[in-house]
Amino acid sequence: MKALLRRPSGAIGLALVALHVAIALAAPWIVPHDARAISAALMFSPPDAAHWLGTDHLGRDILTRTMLGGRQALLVTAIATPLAVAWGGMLGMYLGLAGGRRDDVAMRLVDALLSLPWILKMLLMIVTFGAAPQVLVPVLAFFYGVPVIRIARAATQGVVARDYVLAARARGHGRLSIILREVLPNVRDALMVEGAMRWSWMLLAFSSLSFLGFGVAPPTPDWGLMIADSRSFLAIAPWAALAPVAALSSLIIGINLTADALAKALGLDRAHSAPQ
Amino acid sequence: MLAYALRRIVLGLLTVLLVSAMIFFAVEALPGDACTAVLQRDAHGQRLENCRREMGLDRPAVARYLDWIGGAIRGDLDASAGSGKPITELVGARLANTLLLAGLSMAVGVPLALLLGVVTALARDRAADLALSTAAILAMTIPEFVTATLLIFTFSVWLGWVPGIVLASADAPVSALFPTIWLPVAVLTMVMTAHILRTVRSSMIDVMEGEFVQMARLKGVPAWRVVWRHALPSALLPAINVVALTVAWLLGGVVVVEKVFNYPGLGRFMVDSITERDLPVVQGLALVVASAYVGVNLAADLLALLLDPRLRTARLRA
Amino acid sequence: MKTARALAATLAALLPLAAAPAQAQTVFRQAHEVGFGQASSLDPASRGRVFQVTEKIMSRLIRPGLDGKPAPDLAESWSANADATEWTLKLRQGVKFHDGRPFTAEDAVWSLTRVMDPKTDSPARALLAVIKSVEAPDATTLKLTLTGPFADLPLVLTDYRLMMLPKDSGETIGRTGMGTGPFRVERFDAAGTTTLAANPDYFEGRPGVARMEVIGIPDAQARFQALLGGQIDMLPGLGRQERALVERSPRHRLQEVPTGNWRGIVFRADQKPFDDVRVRKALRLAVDRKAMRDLAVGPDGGITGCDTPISPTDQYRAEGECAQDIAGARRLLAEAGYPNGIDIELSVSTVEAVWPVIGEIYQQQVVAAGIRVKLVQEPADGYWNRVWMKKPAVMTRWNERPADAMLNEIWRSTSRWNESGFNDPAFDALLDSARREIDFAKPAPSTSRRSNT
Repeated sequence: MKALLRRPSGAIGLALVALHVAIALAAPWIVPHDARAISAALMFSPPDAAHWLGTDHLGRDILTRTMLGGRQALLVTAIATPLAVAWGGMLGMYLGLAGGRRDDVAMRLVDALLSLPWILKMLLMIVTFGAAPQVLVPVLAFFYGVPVIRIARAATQGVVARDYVLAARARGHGRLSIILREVLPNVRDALMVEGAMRWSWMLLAFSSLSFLGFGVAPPTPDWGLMIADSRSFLAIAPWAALAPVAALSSLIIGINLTADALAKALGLDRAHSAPQ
Repeated sequence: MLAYALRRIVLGLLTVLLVSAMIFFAVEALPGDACTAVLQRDAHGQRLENCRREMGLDRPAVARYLDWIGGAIRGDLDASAGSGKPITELVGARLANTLLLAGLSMAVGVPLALLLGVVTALARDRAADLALSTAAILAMTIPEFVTATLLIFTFSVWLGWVPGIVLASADAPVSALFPTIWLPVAVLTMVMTAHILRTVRSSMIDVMEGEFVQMARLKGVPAWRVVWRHALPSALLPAINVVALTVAWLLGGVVVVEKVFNYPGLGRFMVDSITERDLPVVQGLALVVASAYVGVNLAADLLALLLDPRLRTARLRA
Repeated sequence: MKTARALAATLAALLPLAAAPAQAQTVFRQAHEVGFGQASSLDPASRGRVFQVTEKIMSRLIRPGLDGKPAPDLAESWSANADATEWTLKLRQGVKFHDGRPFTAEDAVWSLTRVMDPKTDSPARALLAVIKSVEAPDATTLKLTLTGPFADLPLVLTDYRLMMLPKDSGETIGRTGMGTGPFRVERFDAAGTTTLAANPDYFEGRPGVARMEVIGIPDAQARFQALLGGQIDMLPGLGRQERALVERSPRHRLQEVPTGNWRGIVFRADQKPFDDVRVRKALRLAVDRKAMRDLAVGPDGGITGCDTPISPTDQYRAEGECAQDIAGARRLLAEAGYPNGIDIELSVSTVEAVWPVIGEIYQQQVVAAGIRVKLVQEPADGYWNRVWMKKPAVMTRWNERPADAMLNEIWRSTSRWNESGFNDPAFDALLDSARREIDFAKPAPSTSRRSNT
C-alpha cells in the first residue's frame, strides 16, 4: 500500500477511486435535487447557481444525476469483481496444481468461452433474465472470472514445482490447504492486479450496456444512459453529456492508474493487454 | 516443431467444436425458439406444432446439432427465422464490412503503435514518453462511445470535414462505406494503438536493457542500428499475441462503435439478432466469430513459433 | 392525442465551403425509418410500403390539397348522383407510366379492386368497404358504385395507399415501383439508399430537383446526426430538444407545417391487464397531457386532446380535455384489483426520437398514481412488424387521415391495423351508420387509448 501511494499515478488513481466510492455512498443524502423531477421550463438550462452543472433534455439536474449515476455500476461491479477473482482464482490454482486430463478439459472450455465476444454472452443472458443487479452480478462475475482462471493457473504453475509446495505435498496436505497456505500467498499479487483490471473492464461493459439501452433502465440515473440521451445535443447543451463522460472516464482512469501502479510496485508487467 | 504446430491446430479445431456445441445448446436452453420468434403471439397450439414440424424443431436436439454442424462445415448455416434469407449470406455481407473496418484500423494502427512504442521506449521517462503513455492510458480507458461521440461532434457537426454517420446498407458495395468509414476507423485505431504501444514499449525496454543489446552498444554499433536490427525484432514477439487479440476483438464486432456510427457490421447484427431472438442467426454468428477468434490466435502462435527459435525448443520441451 | 404540427428542418443554405457542383446541389436527400425491416416494399397497398418513396413515384386519383380538402390528381373532376351512392370520376388524359405505357381507366379499376381483394390483405382494405363495384365505362371515366350513400368518398380516395398502378403489376410492383409520379425508381434499397430520378414526362411538368435519395436509417439519433452533419437535407417530426438545436444552427431552417399527425401510447385491450376497462381508464387519467406536450414537442409544437385521432383541422373533430386525475386513477386501479398499484411494461424505440422521451415523461407522471412503468427499449429496425400490435403496450404514430379513414382503420374490429385490439360491435355499427349519413355527427368512441403529441 505504501509503495502504491509513493508513486504519483498510484496516489492519483486511488484518490479518484476513493472519491467516486465516497460520492456514490453519500449521494442519496447530499444531492441537491430530485433526480427524477422533470420540468419543461428547465430543459437544457446551462449551469447556474441552482443547477451547478445545468439540466438535461427533460429538465433534470445533471449534478444530481451524475452523482447518483455511478451507484448501480459501482455496486454491481464492486460485488462482481471479487466474486470473479475468487472463483476464477480458485479454479485456476486448482488446475495449475492438479494438471493432467482435468486441466486439459477445463482449459479447452475456458478457450471456448473466451472465443465468444462479451456482448454476445452478456446480451443472451440479459435478454433471457433481464438486467436487474441480481442478474448482472452473477453473470458478470461468471464471465469475467473465466480469464482469471488462466492468470491464476499460469501463476500457480510458476510456484508449483518449488520446494515448499513439494514439501507440503510430501507432508500429505490436502489440495485446498496447499492452495490456501502455499499457493495463494504467491499468486495473490497477480490476482490483485488482475482484479483491478477486471473491475475496469466490467465498468466499461456495464456502461456500454446502458449506453446501448440494455443495462440500467430509466428513470434510474446512469452514466451510460445519460451519455446516450445527451450525445446528440453536444452543440447546445455540452454539460449534459460531458458531466457523465467526465465521471465515468475519471473512475475508469482511476482504477487503471491504480492497477498500473500496483503492478509496478509489485514488479509485475501488465503492459500486455488487448482491447475487450 | 511440426508436432507442436499440429497439436496447436488440432486443439484449435477442438475449441471451435466445443464452442459450437456450447453455443448451440446454450441457445437451445433459452426459452423460445425460431417458431415462437416468427409466430409471436400466435405461438401456441396447432400453429406452433405445425411450424416446429416444418422447421424440424420437433426432432431431438442432438440430431439437430449434428445436422447444423454438418451444414456449417459445408458452409450452410440454415436460414434466418426473421427474414428467411440464408444466414451465410447475411453474415457474409456484414463480415465483409467488419473485415474492411478491421483491416483499415490495423493498417493504420499497427505501424503507428510500433513507431510510438519504440519512441516511448527510447525516450523512457522523458516528456515524450510521459505524454504518449498518458495518452495511451486515456485512449484505452475512455469508453469507445465517448470517443466516438466526441469525434462525430468535432469533425462532422462542428468542422464539417467528414460525414458522421454511415448510411450504407449491409449488402451495399464496399465503396459505399467511404468516406464515412474514417471516423469509426479513427476510434478503433486509437484504442488498439494504445494497447499495442504499451506492449511494444515494455518489451522494447526489456530488450534494450538486455545483455545482447548492451554488448552491441559497447561494440560501437550506431544507436539506430541497434534499435532497428537488434532490439526491435525481439521486442516485436510479445506484440504478436496482443495484435492477434486485437484482431479478434475487431472481428468480434465492435458493437458500440458500430451503433454510434450506424455501421453495418457484425456487431450491430449480433445485437439486433439477439433482441429479435432470431436464434438460428445468433448460433451462426457465434460460430463464425468464435472460429475467427480461434483462427487468429492460432495464426499468432504459429507465427511466434516460426520467428523465435528459443520458443521453438522451449515449447517443445514443455 | 393529437397533434397538430409536425416540424421540419430543412437545409436552407449550403456553407460556402460545402458549395457543391450544380449537379450535386440538385439531389435532395431524406431518410426513412426502415420500420418494416425486411418487409419493406414499394407496393403502396402492402403492409411494408415505404411511403417516403411511394409518395414520390406514384399518383392517386385524388390527393389531399394543402388545405386538407380533396384536390385533383389523376382524376380531374368527380361528381356523385343525388344520394351519393354512385360516383363518376373523369380521368386525366395523356398520362404515362414511367415505362411509357398510357394510364387508363382499366389501370384504375385494377388498382382499386386489388386493394379490395381480401387476398391482397392490404391494410387499406377497410377503407374501401363502402365500394360495391368499380367499372370503367370508357378509357377516361371511372364509375364507383357504393353499398350505400357516402358523401366523403373523395376524402377516402386521398389515402396514400390508394395509388394508381399499371394493370396486372401485382407481382412486380413491390420491386419496380412503377407509377405516374414525378420521380421514377432508379434503385430500390430499403436498408440503404433508394435513388429516384426526375420523371421528365410528369403531367405537372418536370420536378424542380433532378434526383432524390431516400436513405434507410432506423435509429432516430443517427438520423438526427445525419441531418446535423449535412448527410440528409430534411428531417420531419422534430421533438422539442432537436428543435432547440436546429433553431440555433446557422445551416438549418425550421419549418412548421400544420398536420393531423399524432403520436401516442397504445395498450392492447385484448391483453391483460389492459382488458379491464378500469385499468385503461386509470392509465389515461394519470397522465398530464399538457405537461407532456410542453416537454416532448414544446408548447407550440402540437396540441393535446382527449385521445381523439381526428385532426384539429377536420370538421369532425370533437374537442375535449382530459385533465390529470391521480386520485381517480388510483381509485380505478383499486377497484380493478390493484390497490397497491400496477406494474406495466411499455415498449419504446428510437423509431422516433420523441418516443423514448414521451415514455420517460409518462413513466414519471403516472408513478404518483401507483402505475410503475418499465421502459423496454426495442430495436427501431422492423419495429412495426415485431413490436407494434404484438407487445401489450407500445408507442405508436399515425399520419393524418380523414376522420372516416382514421376511425375505421384504428378501431373497426376487423381492421388490419386495429392496433389496440379494440372490439365493440356497437362501435362497428356506429361506424357503418355514420357512413350512411352524409353529414354525420361524430361518434364519440370510448376506447383503450391514451396518447399524446
